[in-house]
Amino acid sequence: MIDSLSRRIAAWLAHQLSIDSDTKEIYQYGLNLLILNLLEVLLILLISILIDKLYTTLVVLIVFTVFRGVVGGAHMSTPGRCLLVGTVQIVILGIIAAMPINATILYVLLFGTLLFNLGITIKWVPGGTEKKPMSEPTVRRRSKIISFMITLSWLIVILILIYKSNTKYILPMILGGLSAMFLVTPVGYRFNAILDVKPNLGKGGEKNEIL
Amino acid sequence: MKYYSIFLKVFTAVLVFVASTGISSFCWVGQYEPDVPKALKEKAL
Repeated sequence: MIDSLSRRIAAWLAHQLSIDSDTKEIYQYGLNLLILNLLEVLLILLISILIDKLYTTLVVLIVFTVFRGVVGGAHMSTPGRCLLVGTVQIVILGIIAAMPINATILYVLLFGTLLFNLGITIKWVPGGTEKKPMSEPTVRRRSKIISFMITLSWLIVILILIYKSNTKYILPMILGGLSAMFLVTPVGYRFNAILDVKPNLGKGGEKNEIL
Repeated sequence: MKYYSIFLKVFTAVLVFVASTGISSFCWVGQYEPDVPKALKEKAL
């Protein structure tokens, strides 16, 4: 559906602007990415409004997006599965994040996630795929540095929230960061492959482990 | 007509920018990557 819509819009643009077929292909690819991501964000926001968990889901989504942009990770094989799994994943995390939690457990979770994120950054970031391997040493080094900086900023924001006694959004921040980093690990690749019903389970994860 | 032409230019510029992220290390929130068109790969080289 997304592909067909992108093709139609790209054909309309090609007709309006009299462009060559290469440019039309690039527009179609850009439209594919744009529509898919906008649709996913809209779906997540719509469902979170319907279940009255907008703010926690929004924080999970923002933190997930910021980490995901740099660290990469496992992908799905079709846009439909991507929409379904991505939406359900973020909404479930938004629901969990809205639950009341003991302060001690929260701090243990925060410390654990910090160590987890730093460890994953050193060992596996960025998580490549077959279409985007990200195997160049320069790219990998740069992604690791940016990932460290994002983790540090993430920690600073959480510490400010703790200082201001606004602990409501700490758990969504932890879950957003944790879920994005999880998808970079070989276990995360295998988990996504199971959801994707792929015959070759964990291929990307093993590849990422070698890289 | 003038605004329509500006809209088309801005819209296509956004599309080219979004498409260019497909060959960069940036990863979108959506967990699906469409096949990168050959023309874009060639332009990147």
